[in-house]
Amino acid sequence: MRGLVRNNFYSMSSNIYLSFIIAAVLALVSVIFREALLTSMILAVQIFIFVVHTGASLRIDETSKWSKFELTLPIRRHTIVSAKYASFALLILMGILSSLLTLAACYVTGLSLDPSIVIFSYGFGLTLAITSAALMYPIMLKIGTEKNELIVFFSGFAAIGIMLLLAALLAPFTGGMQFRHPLVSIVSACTSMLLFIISYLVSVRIHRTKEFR
Amino acid sequence: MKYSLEVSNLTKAYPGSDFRLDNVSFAVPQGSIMGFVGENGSGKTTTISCILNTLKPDSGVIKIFGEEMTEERTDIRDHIGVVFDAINFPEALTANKLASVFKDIYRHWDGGLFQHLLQRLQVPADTRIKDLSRGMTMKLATAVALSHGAKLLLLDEATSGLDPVVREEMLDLFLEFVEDEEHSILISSHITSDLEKIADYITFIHNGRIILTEDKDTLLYQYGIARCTADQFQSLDKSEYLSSRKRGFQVDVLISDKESFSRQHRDITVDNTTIDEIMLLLVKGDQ
Amino acid sequence: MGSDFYLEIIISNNSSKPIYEQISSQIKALVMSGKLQPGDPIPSMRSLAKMIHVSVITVQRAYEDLQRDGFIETTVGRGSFISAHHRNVIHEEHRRKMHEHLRLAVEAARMSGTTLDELTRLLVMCYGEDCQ
Repeated sequence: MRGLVRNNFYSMSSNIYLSFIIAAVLALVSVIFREALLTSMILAVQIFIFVVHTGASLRIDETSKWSKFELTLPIRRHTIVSAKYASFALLILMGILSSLLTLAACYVTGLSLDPSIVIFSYGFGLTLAITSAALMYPIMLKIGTEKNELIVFFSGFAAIGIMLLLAALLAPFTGGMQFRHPLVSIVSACTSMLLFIISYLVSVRIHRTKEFR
Repeated sequence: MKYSLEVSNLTKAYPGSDFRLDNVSFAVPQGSIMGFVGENGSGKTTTISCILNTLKPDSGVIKIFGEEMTEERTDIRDHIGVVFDAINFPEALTANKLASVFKDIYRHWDGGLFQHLLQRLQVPADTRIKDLSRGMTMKLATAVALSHGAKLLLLDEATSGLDPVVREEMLDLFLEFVEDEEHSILISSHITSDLEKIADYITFIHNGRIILTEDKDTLLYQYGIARCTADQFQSLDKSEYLSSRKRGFQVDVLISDKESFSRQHRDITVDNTTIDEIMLLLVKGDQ
Repeated sequence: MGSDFYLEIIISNNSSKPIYEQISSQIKALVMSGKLQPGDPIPSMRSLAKMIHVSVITVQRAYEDLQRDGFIETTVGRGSFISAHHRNVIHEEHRRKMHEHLRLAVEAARMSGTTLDELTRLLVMCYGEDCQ
């Protein structure tokens, strides 16, 4: 599996550099403008920015027939899926890392953020990133990668939709529907992690019988 | 006789399409090179995909090294080298990066041999695959296939798009590969002249059906094409030939034994034949 | 071992003679002319195939012919060698050639209306090296 994960990263390396640059620019923006709401959005986006390219990456895997060639390697099919999810997790970690660095930079330059805003940023960012990855991959496995941009968008909006849904469900506990309430943020993040695990199991199942021309 | 690959009654239909593999059967003896000949869409790629389990057959038995290769048998796949008619690898990688990936995947990856082959085939090791020409990527894929201790090579149009100089080098590599009696190759190709040089056996496929499997030398030196006038053709018995085709004023007739046919029909001209001509007559002729 | 070999074999792709026949007849010729001596090793089937760029099955057929006609011997593990027992076979081979050539001569004679006497006279002349 190590080889496959390494392969995934080599494959996405230029996209990762791009995301890194965008994250750095965003960090700079955050430090320059020192505005709490803007910063909280930036933190959330930074978590998401690394994993957003995977749709395009999966598309290229299909057109080059690498996803077919992979099957001829001396590995189990589920190992291929595991490597993909491990790669998603690592990309999200990169996102978390860059946002943590940005947060640190903010504190160092004197911007103080309300803890509830920080929790919201991370909750929202994690939900967006993890849910997108969790929805994107099995959908592409099932219907192919031709509409990969559409699927990424859909997954992103679905992530927001889930948060809104949870906000509504948790309204009794948060005194009315409060999208930015820390409870909503934390529950959303946990829900998305659960979704990630379920998505992995579903993907293994779909991939096991998938045919590759 | 030991077989590296045995395909028995392979059948596969695509829902929503007329095309299907229909009882495909053939076997590649150990130590040999089998050419797989058929026009585009005849089922070569589908057959190879079924052999490798990227497609699931509707029925049939496929044995590699004497055993059925199920998904769990990663040990068998370790000894199969594959080149598909595609880029095969992630475009952003270079040959060297690919090597570092495969080192952790194939149990018998030979990095030194891989570098040697890259040099021999003149494939730049640090150029991204997306910047390589088609010929280069096929050479790279062949180098990979030969660098992990494979005993069976499955090559789908691995030499198409290559100039004759490079093709010659590749054919040499294939002959070197079968110097080990346990190594075998199944190679599909349009370039039948390549197959005429190095193949031991030829299997013809058309419309998802195997129409003939035969020794290459038998096909080239025992088979023949009788050039008949309409009258001469009438005088032939159906059992004497395999296929016939009207061309202008003459009828071309495919026969499987030049010598005996000539003895019985001293007045009919019989030509030597090529794999292309045999294919044409089998596919376009009347049986 | 393969690369140390030099065998005077020429393969013609355009000849109507099958390649396996070209190989076996040229090796026979080398033996009959003495360029290959009994006991001399020859390349394994597979290395010869690689050296002259032909398929293994073609060389295999040539070697089978050579073995059947007594020109070579193949032992598992030791490879192939020119046989010491071929002397009779060479003689047979020569006789076969004579027979074939004479048959052709007779055919030509019949077609041109030459008598047996005239043909015999021609034969005597040629044997005495008085041939054109």
